Amino acid sequence: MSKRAKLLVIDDSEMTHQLIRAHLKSLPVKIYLSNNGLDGFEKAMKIKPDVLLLDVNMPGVNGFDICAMIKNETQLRDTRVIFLTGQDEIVDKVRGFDLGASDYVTKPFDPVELKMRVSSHLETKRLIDLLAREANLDSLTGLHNRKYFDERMDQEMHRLNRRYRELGLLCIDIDNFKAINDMYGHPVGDDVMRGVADLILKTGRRSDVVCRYGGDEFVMILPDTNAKQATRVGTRIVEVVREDDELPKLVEQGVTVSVGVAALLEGERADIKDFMKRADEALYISKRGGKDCVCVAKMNEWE
Amino acid sequence: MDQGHLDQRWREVYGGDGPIYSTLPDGPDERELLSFFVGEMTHHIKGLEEGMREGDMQKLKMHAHQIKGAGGSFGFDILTDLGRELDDLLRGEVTSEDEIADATERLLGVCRRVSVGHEMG
Repeated sequence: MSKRAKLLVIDDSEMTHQLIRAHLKSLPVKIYLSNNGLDGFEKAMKIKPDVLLLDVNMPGVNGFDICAMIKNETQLRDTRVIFLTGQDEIVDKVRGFDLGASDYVTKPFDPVELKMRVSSHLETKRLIDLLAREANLDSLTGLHNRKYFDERMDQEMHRLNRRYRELGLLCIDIDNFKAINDMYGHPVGDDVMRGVADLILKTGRRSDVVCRYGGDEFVMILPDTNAKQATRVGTRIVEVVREDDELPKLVEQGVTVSVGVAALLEGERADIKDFMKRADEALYISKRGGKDCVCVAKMNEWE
Repeated sequence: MDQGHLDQRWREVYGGDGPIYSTLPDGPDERELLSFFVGEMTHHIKGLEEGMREGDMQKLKMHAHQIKGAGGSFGFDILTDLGRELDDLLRGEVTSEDEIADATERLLGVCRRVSVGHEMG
């Protein structure tokens, strides 16, 4: 586990907090405590726990309602919720599972059982996270894949409309990639692809999101970036690929890329398809204009 | 658990007025937990006494509920049993004040005897 897992306990009894802390002392997990539902929900939003131990019966907002609120939040949806309930309390267990809970533990606690259950759910959560990461990666280049790009683009467009930031987008295509594949074979083609992917990743800024869109085309999301700044990033990528020392070892005449740039202005409304089309058209102009260069899409306001 | 069984167990195991010890295994962690628990008990004893004096059923119920939830987990099953007895009475619709007073006294009696440490032998 690279990051330490997080466990949040929401229970109105201080005694339960102490017990859980003592019983789970040997687990590699950071424990956060809350003694009421709404405060617990706020804490959950802040710390994004991997596992949540949630008391059913609490004064004020009860555990079922908190569970429903948690499962409604995109960023908390994968949190494993374990309900805490008294042995004799007739709670609707089916309702808990319907709301998205993963398990129940009854009070009084059996220390070993509590520990084993929490531990097993921590492991499940770790695997869920791993799977989600893998599902969003391109296996050839290690970059984000098309699926991740679509989701992330959707989020960024949403944020743009809400917070009025600028958003840049680059479409990057390897020049004559088909010819490289035909002449040197696919294994070399794959190496070129990986080499270019690494260079794009290194050249981009920390906040830029680099994805392999498919074939020999890469896309790059540049949050909070206007057309001028995006063009600067695109130009650097073209230069860095052209001047790289490693790529000519694979392909004699060297490798170049063409870039299309598009950007959305503050407060500008556009759908993803239209935005993508603008970047793609700019890329097409780069290709027609002799490749190994950058073109910027026409802004909407100039039309 | 029915009332007769509880009475019998109560007399057999917890009759008298000596200290009552936890059934948790002995160890530094457990001892730390138990000193915390015994400390918490003074807060609950105070709450139960106030609840009785003021006729505040909500207060009684809150303390009974918390003692029920935690008692067994700290190695005091009898607290969970007696806490449940009072909690159930307070939930019931046809409960006499005498019954509630008896159950509260019984719970209080055990709360006051809860001790850190372990039974010898």
